[in-house]
Amino acid sequence: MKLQRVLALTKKEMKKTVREPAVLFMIFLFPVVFVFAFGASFGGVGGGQPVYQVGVVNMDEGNSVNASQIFLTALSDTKILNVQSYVDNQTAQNALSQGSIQAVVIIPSDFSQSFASYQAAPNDPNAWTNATVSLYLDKGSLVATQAVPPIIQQVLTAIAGQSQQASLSPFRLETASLVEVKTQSALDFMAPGMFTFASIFLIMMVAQSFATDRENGMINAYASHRRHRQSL
Amino acid sequence: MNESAITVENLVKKFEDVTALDGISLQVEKGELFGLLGPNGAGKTTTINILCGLTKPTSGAAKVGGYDVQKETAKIKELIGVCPQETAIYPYLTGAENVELFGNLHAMDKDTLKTRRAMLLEKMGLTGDAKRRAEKYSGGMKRRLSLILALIHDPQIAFLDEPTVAMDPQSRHAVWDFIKELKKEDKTIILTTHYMEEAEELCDRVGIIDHGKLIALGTPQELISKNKVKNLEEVFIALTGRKIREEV
Repeated sequence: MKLQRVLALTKKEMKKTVREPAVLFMIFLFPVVFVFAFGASFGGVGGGQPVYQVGVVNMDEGNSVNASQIFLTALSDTKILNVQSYVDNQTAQNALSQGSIQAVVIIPSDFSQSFASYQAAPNDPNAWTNATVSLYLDKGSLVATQAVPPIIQQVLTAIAGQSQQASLSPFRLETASLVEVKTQSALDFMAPGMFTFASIFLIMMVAQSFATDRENGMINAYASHRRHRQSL
Repeated sequence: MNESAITVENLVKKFEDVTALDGISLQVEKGELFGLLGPNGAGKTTTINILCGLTKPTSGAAKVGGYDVQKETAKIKELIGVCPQETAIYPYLTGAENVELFGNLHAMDKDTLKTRRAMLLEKMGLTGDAKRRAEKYSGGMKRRLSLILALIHDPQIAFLDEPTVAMDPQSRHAVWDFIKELKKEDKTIILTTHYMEEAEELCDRVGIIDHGKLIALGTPQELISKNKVKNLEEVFIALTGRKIREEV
């Protein structure tokens, strides 16, 4: 029979929500206004594109076709990546661990060779020499692990004949470091904030409801019967 | 009529340095309509609040339906219905919805609730307005609705705290008739009021409280003849030298 009381109170609250426009505003419009207001204040809306620092170790031995140069130019042209060259992997790794760059791209020695084999027979994957571009990422930077690999993958695909399908490329991008790339949806990003807002509003509204009920004697009316208090 | 529904012994209630009740003792029989009279601030509502289990007394003892108000409040609350001084209704619900809500909170079954709701709304003259939101009601209508909410579950003991305050004479008489009917159903009713004519019209016995003390107890006729006056208003003047209500 307790369900009957809970349902009665729920029904009452639903009616209140529909019949009192101020409640509707508090529930639906106020959080939206807040999210936009805080988003504009702290989210850097209109602040332009972020730029990631990427170190490149060019081990390409190609002479006739300098594919690595095309690749580097293409990376710089994205305007999202700021490319810096390093002599060897160790120096680049040091820079990564010091936090001055967020990713290291290692161009393998057979990069140009692979590119040339692809150009010679673009439609025959069996004739290609496959090259693996290695990528090291800053484990601490959530943005870098999310944003940098797709950009580099896209550039690699683009230089290998503008194909959007990575499977048709002789280049493979391998994340060499043991960073587990976790996909994060917009909901994951928004959920904590929304829950916080929802909780704050819920607490505010319940407190307001209690204050009003106390003021007009409703709490006493409830309290004078034990069953009412249990339902509350 | 010889079984006590309410027993109060030497009840004292202090709010910091204010003594609201100063040693009140009385008994109310089962099926009796008892009036607590007194001016504003005399201690009527404090007495009701203690008997309902809403406030703890500073000292003294009280029993309602045989249960101690300090130790067995849960059992007392099963027996009573309270119409508080404040109009405790939800303004955004209609009259009928308010009654239905309280009926459901008392876990009444659907059919009984429906029957009693219709009966009480009819008796209080609110049937025609039952589907209007309570916020649109007049002050008197709100008070009548509040009374229905207190009695929807058919309690054995009803505490009515100034049920007719701010009512026009027509509404007041409707409430009086309703209270008389309750008495016929053998309900015990405690009524507080500062309208002496109301107490004279309705109550079997009255207790007059002033400054937290019970200064007179008996049937209205007893008190009138004992003090050799014409009505209860004059009884109060004879006892205190003051009028119960100052003329506006």
